[in-house]
Amino acid sequence: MKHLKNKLIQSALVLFLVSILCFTLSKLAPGDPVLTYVQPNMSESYIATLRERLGLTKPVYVQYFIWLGNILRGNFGYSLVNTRPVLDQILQRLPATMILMASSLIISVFISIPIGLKCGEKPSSAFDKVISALSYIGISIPTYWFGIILIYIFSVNMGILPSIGMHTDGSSSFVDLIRHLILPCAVMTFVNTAQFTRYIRSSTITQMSQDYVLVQKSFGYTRKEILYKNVLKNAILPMITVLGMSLQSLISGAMICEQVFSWPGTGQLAVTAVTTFDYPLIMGITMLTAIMIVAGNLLADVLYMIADPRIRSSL
Amino acid sequence: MNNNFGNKLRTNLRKNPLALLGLAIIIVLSLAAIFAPVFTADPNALDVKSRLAGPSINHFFGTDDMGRDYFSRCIYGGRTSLLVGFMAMFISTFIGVVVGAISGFAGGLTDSVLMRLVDALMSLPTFLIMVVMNAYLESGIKNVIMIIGFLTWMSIARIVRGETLSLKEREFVIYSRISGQSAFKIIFRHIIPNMLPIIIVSATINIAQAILMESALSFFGLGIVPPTASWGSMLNSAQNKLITAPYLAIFPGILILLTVLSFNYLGEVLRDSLKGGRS
Repeated sequence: MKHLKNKLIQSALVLFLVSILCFTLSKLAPGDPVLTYVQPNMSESYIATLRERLGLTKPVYVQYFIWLGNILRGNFGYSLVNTRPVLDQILQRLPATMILMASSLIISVFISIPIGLKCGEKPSSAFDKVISALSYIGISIPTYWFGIILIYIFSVNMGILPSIGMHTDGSSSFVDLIRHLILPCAVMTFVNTAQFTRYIRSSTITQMSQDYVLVQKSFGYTRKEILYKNVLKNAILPMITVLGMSLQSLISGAMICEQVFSWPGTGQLAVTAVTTFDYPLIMGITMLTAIMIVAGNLLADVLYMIADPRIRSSL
Repeated sequence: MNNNFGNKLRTNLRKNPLALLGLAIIIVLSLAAIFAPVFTADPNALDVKSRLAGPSINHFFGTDDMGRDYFSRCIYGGRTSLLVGFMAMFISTFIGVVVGAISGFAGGLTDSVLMRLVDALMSLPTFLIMVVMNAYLESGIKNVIMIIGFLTWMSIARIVRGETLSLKEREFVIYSRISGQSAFKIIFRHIIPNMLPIIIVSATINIAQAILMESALSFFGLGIVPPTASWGSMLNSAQNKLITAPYLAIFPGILILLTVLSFNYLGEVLRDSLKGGRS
């Protein structure tokens, strides 16, 4: 339990630091925030009152704690552009991003485990060489370019898949959603699978040289039995941590993908927020994403503890 | 250990034709970037009469929508990408090594604070922060280098810290401590030189990441903006001409892929040489 308590304290500290970074970032932004509320016919004194009411005359650290207090109470402020609550806007966009990230994540995990195992079982076999080449391409390809190429092939040339958005106008059928999901999901799946396969391959290679494999071989178990009964479990265990760690790059990848395919998720919202200098929205998205990443890592740690009996017994 | 690494690297390169190919690609692209003005046409020269001409003898990669020679734009784009890749790598490696070495060597509270800072930075959605910073600052090559450099040093810091933790228990460091050398001297004279190979591996992969990030930023219309040629911004404008001129999207993309692939693969070969060198 002590390990878990430490992790919790660390996560809280990290989030505290993130909030300071996030707040600093918004304070460093060029421009006077009060100007977004100012109309041409306002008097100087009215602007001064406005500045005071917005809390902009208080010392910076007081402003920070007010902001932090609001966030802890779930109040992420209001958009400067359309005055809607930031949290509402993000929550409205979140499902789209979740669909994209979850579908590609699940598919990648299911593809990469058998492939990684097979590669790690016989490294430098023909199969392993082909997969290694593909996974190198996967980690090196610019996501957005891959997206453009897929759009060119499947939407422009063959005309069989839609290239933008999440639904055809007026349609909300499941099939329509899937048709829109295929291309962006394929891009993200390729990139994730490349990464995961590399991890599983190398951890399978490490496992295959362990003593227990040798012992089982000497007891006459076949390669397949050893691979799928024992090596599999040990090789995919670190995947939990890898998944937690790759959450950050996953979110960045989703952001780029959403932009290329005009997928109406939080990534697209973030880019719009940046281009319209909507600071409360930018801060809200940054904070919520950071909370998700930290929570994801914490969850990975907890799952690892539950999955690994060696750590579980020490709890 | 350094010698070992060098020997092993040489045999690894000799045995592995793909690694040599990667190295050759990097060298050719770097030379092309350095000597671009010598052998290419002016990348910004307009020729309205030959707009969107496909690849030919006169224009190897065709021309873009303003009749500019796409081959020279691609070479100049490589100039931008490689410059950003190398410079951002220098910044991030420098910060990463210094923070990691201090954190590992000092231990205690310093270590905890620095590592939590690394955790915090690693929990931020990096790409979003880059987009935000880019919007704050003026677009331009210098700012892109700074932004990427200052946001990608964390993993190097973690690696260097781990390595420092094990190196500081080794005899030669303990001796130099006992003989009264300053911490500064121990870190820079004894610890960092001994993990140079590991730093080189991370730096190589870092270049690949920096090039990818720059191209993604420029693709969003943020990092390097036209008329300066950059592979990312070229892809951005190519996006709308997929139907009429798909080659505009293909050439810069393949160049990015080849460059990043070469650096990543070379990094892996370097890492393999490291494993052999240490055992």
